[in-house]
Amino acid sequence: MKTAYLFLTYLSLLTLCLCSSIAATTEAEALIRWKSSLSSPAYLKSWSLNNISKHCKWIGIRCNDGGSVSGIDLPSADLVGTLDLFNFTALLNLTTFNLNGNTLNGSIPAAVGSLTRLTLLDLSNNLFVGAIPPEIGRLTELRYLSFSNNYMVGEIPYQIGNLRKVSFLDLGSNYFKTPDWSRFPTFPFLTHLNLYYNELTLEFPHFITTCLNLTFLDLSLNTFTGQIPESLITNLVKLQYLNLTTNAFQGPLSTNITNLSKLKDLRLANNFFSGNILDSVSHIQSLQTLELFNNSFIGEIPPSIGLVTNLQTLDLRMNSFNSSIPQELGLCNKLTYLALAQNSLSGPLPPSLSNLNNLTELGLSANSLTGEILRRFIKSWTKLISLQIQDNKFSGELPSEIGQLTNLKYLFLFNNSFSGPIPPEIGNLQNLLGLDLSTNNFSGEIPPTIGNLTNLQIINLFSNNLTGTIPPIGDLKSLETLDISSNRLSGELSPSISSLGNLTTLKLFGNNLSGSLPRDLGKNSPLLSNVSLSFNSFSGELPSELCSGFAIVELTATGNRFTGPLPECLKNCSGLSRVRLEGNQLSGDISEAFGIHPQFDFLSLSRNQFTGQLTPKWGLYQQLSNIQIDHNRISGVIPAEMGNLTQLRVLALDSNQFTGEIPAELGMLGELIALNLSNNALSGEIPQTVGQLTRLLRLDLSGNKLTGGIPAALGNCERLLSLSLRNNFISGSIPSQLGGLTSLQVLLDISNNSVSGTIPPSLGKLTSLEILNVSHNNLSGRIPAELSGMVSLITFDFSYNNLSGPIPTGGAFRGAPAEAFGGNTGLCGAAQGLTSCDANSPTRNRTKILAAIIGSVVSIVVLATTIAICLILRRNAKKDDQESKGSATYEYSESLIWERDGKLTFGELLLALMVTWHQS
Amino acid sequence: MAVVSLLLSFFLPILLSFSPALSTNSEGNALCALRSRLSDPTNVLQSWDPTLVNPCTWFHVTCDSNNHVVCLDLGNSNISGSLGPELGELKHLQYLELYKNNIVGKIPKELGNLGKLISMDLYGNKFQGKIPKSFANLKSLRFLRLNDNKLTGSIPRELTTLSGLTVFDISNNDLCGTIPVDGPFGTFPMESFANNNRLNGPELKGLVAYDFGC
Repeated sequence: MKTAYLFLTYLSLLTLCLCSSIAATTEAEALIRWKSSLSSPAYLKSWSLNNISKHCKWIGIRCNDGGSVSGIDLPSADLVGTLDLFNFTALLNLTTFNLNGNTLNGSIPAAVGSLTRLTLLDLSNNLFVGAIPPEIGRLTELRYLSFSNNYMVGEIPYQIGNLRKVSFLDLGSNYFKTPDWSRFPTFPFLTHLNLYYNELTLEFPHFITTCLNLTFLDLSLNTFTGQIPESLITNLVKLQYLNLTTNAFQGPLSTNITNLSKLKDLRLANNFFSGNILDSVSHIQSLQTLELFNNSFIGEIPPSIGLVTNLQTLDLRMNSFNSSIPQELGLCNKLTYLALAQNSLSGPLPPSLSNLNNLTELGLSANSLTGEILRRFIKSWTKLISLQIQDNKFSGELPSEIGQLTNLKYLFLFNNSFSGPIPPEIGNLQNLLGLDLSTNNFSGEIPPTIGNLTNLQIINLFSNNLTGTIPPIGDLKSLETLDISSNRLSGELSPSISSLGNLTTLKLFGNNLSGSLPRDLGKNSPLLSNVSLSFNSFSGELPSELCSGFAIVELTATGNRFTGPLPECLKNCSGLSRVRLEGNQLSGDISEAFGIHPQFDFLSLSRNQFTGQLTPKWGLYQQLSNIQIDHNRISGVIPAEMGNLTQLRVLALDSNQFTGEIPAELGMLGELIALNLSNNALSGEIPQTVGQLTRLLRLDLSGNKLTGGIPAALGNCERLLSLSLRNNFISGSIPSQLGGLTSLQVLLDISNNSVSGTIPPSLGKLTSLEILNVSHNNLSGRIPAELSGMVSLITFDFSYNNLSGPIPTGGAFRGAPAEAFGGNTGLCGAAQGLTSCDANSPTRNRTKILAAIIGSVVSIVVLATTIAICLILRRNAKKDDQESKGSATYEYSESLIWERDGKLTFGELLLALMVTWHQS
Repeated sequence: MAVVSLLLSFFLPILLSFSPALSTNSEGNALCALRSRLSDPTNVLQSWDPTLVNPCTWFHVTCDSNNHVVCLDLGNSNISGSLGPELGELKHLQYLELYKNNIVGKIPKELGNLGKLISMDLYGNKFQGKIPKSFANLKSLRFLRLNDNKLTGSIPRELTTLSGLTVFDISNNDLCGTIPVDGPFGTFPMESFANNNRLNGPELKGLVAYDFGC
């Protein structure tokens, strides 16, 4: 009996072992099968069929007392593959499953729902895609669940709500969308909830405010809207970390925020919060990090901030705080990061800030802070890595103690009113990467010690009053940007500047630098892209290797005395965008000086001695907005292809030797605002297409050999401010449409042509025009009375035409000088030096002009007398002429001759005669 | 993904603390400030790059040989927004042409600092408020056209001291008070004052208060 019992016991034990070992073998085989599906299983070397009985000892495997696999723990195991062949149903005893930090992709199989004993599921930091399977809701024993940082999508399944025991839930950094939060119950044990960086929208999820044990809550980087519910502040009193950064939350901070008295970290940046931050925040004394940047907070930084003595990070940037910096801030001496930039803070820095001797980063830029940077500050801020106080109103000298801040990497003091010398001690800042002292009043020399700062990448000293020469900087091997423009530096460039192998930007403009550039400048700087030498006194040639890296984007050397040709390598700089070389003595043929430059935007070569021609290739620079090649010796025709430059705003080819016709294609330049082709040898007619340039403000075609008429279509250029056609061979009449150019203001000049006909009365509508010149043409008839409506006229010239009759009486014509009318035969009026049209007017002025006329025409006196007699004979016939009866001029001339007989002087007779002639 | 966001959160504060190096010249800065106030749907101000040597290559800006801005041609440019005090920094400006746009707000009194101004054309906008008294400082001014706006208040009597003023147009506003007769005002035609319903005049010396009806 006893034996039988023993046997039975043995048997049952054996069965049990056998069964469990069979189960264990199944588990091991399941694991092996999964391993074999992975493409990079090196880490799982111990998982092998030879070793199958010892699978509990396999790496990452843990078994329970019964020998069944209860844990798979393979974080950062370099696993590549999917879970598709993972046999979940063979591993039902799993309680922990951790694949954090591998390279697993594919979706998460629904079968994961069979692992109902799981307490930990961590699939974070992989490449999983697809949605969370709703079967996740079966894992009701879960305490820890993380899908963080995958590529998962879809709504967060409400079945997660079944996980009532979960305390750690992290779905952050995926593409999850907003579910119906109302189906989410409370999670009584939840302490850590992270939903950051998803695509969640709408209002704050209500269920969160019922999770009373939360200590960590991160909803940052979503698009949540609305206010923070008051229930969050009243309920979640255990919160230590609250991050709502980068959402669309709004409204003021509740005064009850003091309730969250355990908070260490409060991050509300990048939202639309508004109002005062109030003292309440200051009463959360456990706070270590307070980030409120980029909101709409207003008012003062509360002095009570000094109570938060545990603060290490305070970031209030980009709000509208408008107080001074409270002295009490000096009590927060654990601060390492203090950022108050881009507010409206004013006043000086409180001396108490010298207590902040743990500061590593201090950013106060873009405020209206005043006063000096006290010596005591610098002495105590020795841990500073970044000091950025640019864009303020700080003044005074920079203390020499600055040299003690040897941890500094960034020293940005630009755009203040600092004065005095740059302390030579700055050369002690061996770790400095960026030095920007620009736009201040620093004076004296650039300290030569700056040449020691071998880590420096940026030197910006522009817009100061620095004098002396540029010190040797050849050892600054890391230097990328050197901008010392707009100072009073002088002397020649040190040859050492050529050895800066990382240099991309060299800006020297606006100094008194002289001499030649080092011959090998650019040779060792293959990244050099931005060179500005303008407004100095440099001479010699542009170094031929300046662009040897073919990286030049901007080259400006305006206003120097450079000679010689353009560097040939310019042609190969495919990124070339901006070239300004005007006002030098550069020469050479530019026909082939440029190559393929898709970003070519701005070119000015004005006032040099360039020769050559514009080739059709210029039509390819479709981005060009400005071409100024004026005052050179360019010849040939203007290529029709330039009509393709549809972005062109300014085209100035004046004072060259261009020949041929103006291509009609230029009418396609619809954005053009200035077109100057003056002083060339252009011939042919002005193309009608000029009327398509409706944005044109200035048009100058003067000083050419243009023929034909003034196109009536010019009247379409309604924005014209200035129009000059002077000095051509233009004929025909003035189109009345020019009267529609009511924006004309600066100049209307058609002088020195062969324009005939009458002056259209419509010109009187040019009420803004200041200078009108129609002199030296063949205009006839009267000056229309309407022209007195040109109320803005300052100067005008009607001289040397065949004009007659009374000049207008109003506006600028009142008291006009005689020169404006000279060389016309029949003008009269009240203007100085003109014959009065009215017989009763005083004779003083008339006598003067008569005297002149007598002198000049004495030789034809006899002839005149003869013709006067003929006129008398014609008198009756004239009286019947209706036209002449209506003409004041005619009446005037007749009255002169016939009504004042006896008193008629010789000269008066002559004048009248000429008027009459003209009218006949 | 986490790495990227971590990097971002680390570098963003540093990046944000930088602000771009701006033009080194106060006139360029003033124009930049102007641009920042304006809305420019047709990109008329596209070329206004503050990093350039000076604003002299910007379109619609003209400089003299000393690289000072003398002319600002933005008439009829479809721009809107308002003007700010910084325009008063353009000390060499001779022509301020902002006519026929959609500019609103007050005319900044700082425009009275533009002592070399010859012409100021602000007509055809939606300017409100008063004509600044400071315009009396514009001793070189010849042309002042403020017509077709929504200006209110009286004509500053101080403007009668602008002896060079030859064209003055304030028609089509809502100005009030009396039209002066002194100085250049003796020569302006009545059309220059038309369509200001509460404007009386010309000034009857001693009979009514100057700002009668305001």
